[in-house]
Amino acid sequence: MSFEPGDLAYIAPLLILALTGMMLVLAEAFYRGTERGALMGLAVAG
Amino acid sequence: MVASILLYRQIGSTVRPLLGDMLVADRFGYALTGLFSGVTALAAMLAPGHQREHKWENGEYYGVLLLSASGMTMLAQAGNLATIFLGVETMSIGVYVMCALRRQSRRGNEAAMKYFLMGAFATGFLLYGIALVYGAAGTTAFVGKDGKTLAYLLTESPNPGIGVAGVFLLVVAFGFKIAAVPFHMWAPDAYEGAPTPVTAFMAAGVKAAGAAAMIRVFGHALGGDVLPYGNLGWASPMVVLAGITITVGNIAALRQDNIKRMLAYSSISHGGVILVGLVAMGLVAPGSGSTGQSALVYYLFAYAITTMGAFAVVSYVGSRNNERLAIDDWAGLASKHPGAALAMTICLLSLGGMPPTGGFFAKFYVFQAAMEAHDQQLLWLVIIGVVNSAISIYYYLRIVTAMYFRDLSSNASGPFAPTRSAALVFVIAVCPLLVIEMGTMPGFWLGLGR
Repeated sequence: MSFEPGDLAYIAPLLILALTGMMLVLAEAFYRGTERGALMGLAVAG
Repeated sequence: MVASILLYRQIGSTVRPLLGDMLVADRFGYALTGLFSGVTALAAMLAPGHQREHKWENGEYYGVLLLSASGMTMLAQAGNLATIFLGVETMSIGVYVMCALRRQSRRGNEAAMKYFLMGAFATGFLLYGIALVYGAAGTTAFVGKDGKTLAYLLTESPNPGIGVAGVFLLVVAFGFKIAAVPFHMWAPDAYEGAPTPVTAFMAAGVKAAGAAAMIRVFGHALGGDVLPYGNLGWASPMVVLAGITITVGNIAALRQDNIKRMLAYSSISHGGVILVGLVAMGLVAPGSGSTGQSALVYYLFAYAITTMGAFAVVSYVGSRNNERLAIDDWAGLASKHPGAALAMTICLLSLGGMPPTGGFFAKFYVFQAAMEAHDQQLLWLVIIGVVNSAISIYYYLRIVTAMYFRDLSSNASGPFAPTRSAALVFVIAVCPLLVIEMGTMPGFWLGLGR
């Protein structure tokens, strides 16, 4: 098994989806309102 | 999706192994990661209106949705059976959670539990299969260090029996994932019980991701002229599975009065067509100009977009306290909401394989690839597929008939009070347009999988 940092660019779709997903879970944890529609925009952007 | 498009254009025809041999960067992978990103975005757009209307406003949905989608992209780019396992689990665990997000719904909880238990069984089969293949071939990589594919390594193995058992367990595991008969029992209950946006994501995304994983494993790693038939062959059981899946899915759909269950059985039947394309692709040596892969990618795009559109209309028509899932509940929809009725009609015609929709060319290209394989078993599968396509028109047209030819006064559920959501209306508008575009100008979409 070898690791080349350049390979990360080729898995950008996977990384973007995973990182945005984690951010959304965190955002939900600290969100205090009742309306969740705003999270849809973040999800679509991800 | 933007990243997928940019990488698709940049990678060209080269195939680049990533992180050792765990992942692969190629056009096929980026085409499908683009599809999965799009399906995820559409599933996110379906949610706000449905959540508000049916009181399951869980923000976790969006995060879990994206994490699940990351598992799908892993499957599309997999270059190793270990990555396949990771991708399947990352995708599935998120979907189990999403099925149960409507916590007050007993049907939702039942759906999640059934899906989880069956998924756990499938995971067991997958792991045992991977372990046995490793025991026989000495590697889980799709292409070994000397450039030989897994199929060659298995045929050269001193323990071919272990390889046969491993490949058979892989067929069973993926059969569960794409709900092929007889491993389909979870699908109708899970589709019916899950919130409609989650059902849409499962039907369009999870099924396409399962098919992507199968293309990688059976088409790329175990395909070619070495393995599919003969003592170690996976194609013979797959041909049987395909024939049974298309037929049983269609016959069961004929008897359904619940739209979500009907679409679930229709989805099972479509899984059978995917298996036909897979066998056609796997029988031809890689690089020999097979049309199987491009036909399958076209099929996955057409099927996913059409299914998202159909479930978007189901989500729109249902209102608080009444999801309007019975076909009788749709009587007279065209007179009150002609746009939604038209969108549903286009999607249903596409699922039935009627021209000029994407669904027509999807089936046409898959059956054409099967014919080009010059194989007697595949010829029979094409005949079964075409006959079943004709049968499927009957149950799709039952909904169209209810919407257009039955009066609103015969609707026991009373006047329509659809879910109001701009994002939902956007999905209902875009999906049928794409379905028509795919059917009238298929060239671009067909080229995606080459």
